[in-house]
Amino acid sequence: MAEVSLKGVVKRFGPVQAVHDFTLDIAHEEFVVFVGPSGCGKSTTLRMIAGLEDISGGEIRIGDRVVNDLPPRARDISMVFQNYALYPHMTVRDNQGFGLKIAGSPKSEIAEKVGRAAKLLGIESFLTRKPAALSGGQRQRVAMGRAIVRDPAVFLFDEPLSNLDAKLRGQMRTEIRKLHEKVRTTVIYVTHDQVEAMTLADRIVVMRDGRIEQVGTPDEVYHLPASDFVAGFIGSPPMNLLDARTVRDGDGLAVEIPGGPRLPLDPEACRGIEPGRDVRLGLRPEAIAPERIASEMRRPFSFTADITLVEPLGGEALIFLEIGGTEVTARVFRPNTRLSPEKDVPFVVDLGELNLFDPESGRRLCGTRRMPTQ
Amino acid sequence: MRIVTTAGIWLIRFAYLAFALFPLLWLLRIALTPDQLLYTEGTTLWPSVITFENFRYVIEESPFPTYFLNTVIVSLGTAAIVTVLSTGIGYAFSRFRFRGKTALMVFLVITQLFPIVMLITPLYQILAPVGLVDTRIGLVVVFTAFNLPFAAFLMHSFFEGIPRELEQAAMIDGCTRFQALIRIILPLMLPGVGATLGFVFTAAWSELLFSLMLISSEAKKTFAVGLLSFVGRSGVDWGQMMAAATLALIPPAIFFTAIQKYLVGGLTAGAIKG
Amino acid sequence: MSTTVNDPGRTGASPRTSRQRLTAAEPYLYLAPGIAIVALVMLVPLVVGVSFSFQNYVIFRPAARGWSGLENYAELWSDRTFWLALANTAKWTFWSVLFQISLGLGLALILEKPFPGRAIFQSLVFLPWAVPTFLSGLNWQWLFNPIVSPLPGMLSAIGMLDEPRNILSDPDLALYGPITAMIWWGVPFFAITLLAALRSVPSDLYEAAAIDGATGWEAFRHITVPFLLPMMTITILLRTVWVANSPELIFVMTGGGPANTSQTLPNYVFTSAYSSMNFGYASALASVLMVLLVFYSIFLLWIRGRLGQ
Repeated sequence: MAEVSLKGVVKRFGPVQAVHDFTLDIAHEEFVVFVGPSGCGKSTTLRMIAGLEDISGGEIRIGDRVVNDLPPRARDISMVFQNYALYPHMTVRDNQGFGLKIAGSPKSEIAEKVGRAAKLLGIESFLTRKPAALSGGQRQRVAMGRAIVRDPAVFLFDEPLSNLDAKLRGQMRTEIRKLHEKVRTTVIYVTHDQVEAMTLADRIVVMRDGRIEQVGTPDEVYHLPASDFVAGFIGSPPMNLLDARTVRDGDGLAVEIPGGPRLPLDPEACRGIEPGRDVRLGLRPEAIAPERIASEMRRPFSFTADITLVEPLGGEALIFLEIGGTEVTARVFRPNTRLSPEKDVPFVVDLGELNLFDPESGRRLCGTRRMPTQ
Repeated sequence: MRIVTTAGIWLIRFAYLAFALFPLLWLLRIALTPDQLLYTEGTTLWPSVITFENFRYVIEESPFPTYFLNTVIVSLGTAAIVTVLSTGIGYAFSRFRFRGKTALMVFLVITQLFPIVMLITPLYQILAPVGLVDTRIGLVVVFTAFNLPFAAFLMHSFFEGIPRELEQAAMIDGCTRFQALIRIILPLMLPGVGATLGFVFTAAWSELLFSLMLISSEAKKTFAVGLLSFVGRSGVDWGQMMAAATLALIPPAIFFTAIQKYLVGGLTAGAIKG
Repeated sequence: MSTTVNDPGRTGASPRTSRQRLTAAEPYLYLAPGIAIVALVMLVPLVVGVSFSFQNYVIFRPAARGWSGLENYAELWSDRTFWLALANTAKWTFWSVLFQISLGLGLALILEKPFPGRAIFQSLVFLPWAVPTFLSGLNWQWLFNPIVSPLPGMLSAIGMLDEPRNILSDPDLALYGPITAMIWWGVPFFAITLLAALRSVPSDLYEAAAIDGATGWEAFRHITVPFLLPMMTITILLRTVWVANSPELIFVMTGGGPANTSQTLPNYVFTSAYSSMNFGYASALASVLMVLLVFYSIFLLWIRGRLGQ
């Protein structure tokens, strides 16, 4: 059993604080992805868990041990690096078996475990080659093989796919997911790519400036972003963010976009918000569509807007429209009509997908989707 | 026009080659000239007769083989010790953040400003009481200190060329930091280690002043001292002296030729950026 | 195995445990032997040496030894040989380094482009650097000797000398003998470092310049030189200091003669210390040399700082 738990972990580099009060519990066999822009502290946090960086404060546990003061070799982890860090002077076989050799395992056991891992990853045919003679994708597999062979309690991945081209990255992403199904281990995975985070993670940890911005399942992070930062970071194209204002609307409350439509709010979800308040309104691109091709919505609301540009992408299309002087992106799937820029097009927006953020702090004020009960 | 340019470039290349090699060829030429022809054919490009008599005399009858051996011992000893110590310094500078790092680096650079000639007397007085004067070990100690700063910067730049992830991977794989250094980093640094070894060997082989001041007994003299005392004697035998000089040239030339391409690599990595 | 738990309340404080103390000490373990030997064999003698310069310390007169304040420095001020040696040191360093750099740069540019036989060419032209300094001194001493070398004859044939004679015994020319040897010996060093620097110039810069229509010379002038200069300052600095400090070639080739006309400061220090056995005076000479070199270095680094902006 290997839970990983971080309690109030802090990292300073001289006067600069790179990680602030990081607290997180990771369950046994859970796949957790740390995601955020570069410099957000995600790699530093991973390296502190690995023992490659000392922690300046707090506590890290792996399993039932506090590992703050244990060197990397004693933490029962393995790690896949961005540049793979394969030992250039050793063959693939020796690379994979190195950890066991250092641990003093018998030769037969090393051979057996290396063989098993090689089979799992499909790298049996080049066990005798040196890393220099491998392609990027092959090196990636060897690096994962080296991590698996040691059968650790926790796997750490530090941007393992970012040196691969887009196609290979997609393939390897699927393979890592499959591998996790076969080798059930706790995984902590660092990436700056939100697609990787969404596809791989059981839970996503979004980080910014050394702090946790939000922890949640891919669904939660996508549909209920805790802040406008998460909203803008997760999803491609990102969530549309518009400056708006709350207004009284009959009995209830609505949000008014200056120069645009007035969208009624779900009184249930938005209790406690007073009218006449500045907000940032967040709308996912797929929550807006031209009326004539819109798919079913939970709470459709109609308005008109000008289409300024259309980007067909085959299976889907991005439509750029103007709401109150701000450019907004809409995404429609399988558009069977030809779309082109035109004026005063009827649109619908799904009021069930509204997000309101505080314009100062960026924190979420409310959303019409119900927060999951914890 | 193009042909003229090409010819011009080749001409420059040959001029460099001639400038570099003529003195060495002349050394060899005099060493091979029989004594009786030395003055009559002193300035012709190649003597009418050549002889290996000078080499035979130097190897069989002169004290030069002893000098040669002493120089080999001192140079190899210095090179080995400097390489080990500079590995430590280069590794520490490259892989650790610690208090006083900048100050130590600056200190090593500043040692390069010291007028070496001023150190001779004080060093003599420091080495004499501990019995290191007139010993080969004493020379090794002194040469080690003199060559260490540059070697440390050279090694530092070679370390910088090795990705840190490699030793981190090794440490996660179960190595201690020291094991990672020995089993992963150093095998990858062999060219760098070789370059440093060769560089220091060549430098130690050239040293003259301290050998002159610290060594007095004939049996411990190095080549430089031996050759210089040869010059001092009246009635210089040019042929024998040049033969000895030619022999003295062989080991550093071999070492240097072997390492020069790694030296270019090591300097690219950062030693010259300062 | 330590499992000390830190109080989460004081997260800001750096936890001090046995492992971390050991980790903090680790770099010093790697450094200590090397730094210790450098300090003992270079720093301590330097301090002792500087202290000599304030003493009356002549080996033949042990009874007279004692602190003498600035007496050695006062003596130095009125010593004609000191001023001559100082001027010669400047001359010797300037010409040696200037030619080493320009010839070294030429060689590096030649070696940067591939041509048939480049590898063997490179190892042959770099050979002089492998020649021990004293040996290149002796070698060039012989080459300037008209009896065993054609060089004086050649020099007079092209009109650089009035007759085939030994320039090392000419008071006006003697210094140029060791300078020639120093240039010959030092060109490879600059070629190696410049070659390394040239290879670090990103090639897309040249491509961009070529697209912008720059000629080879313009690319050299506007890309290569600005790129090399800051990188080379430290190399030039260290080499200049090394050349200025190096007495060996002069000691071997002319001994500072004839009549001190090729005397430089380090060689004067050496001969003062070991011919006249006046350690106090020799140390004062060396201290002055060091102070000048420190000023020179600061000046060069200041220039480098200005260039960097």
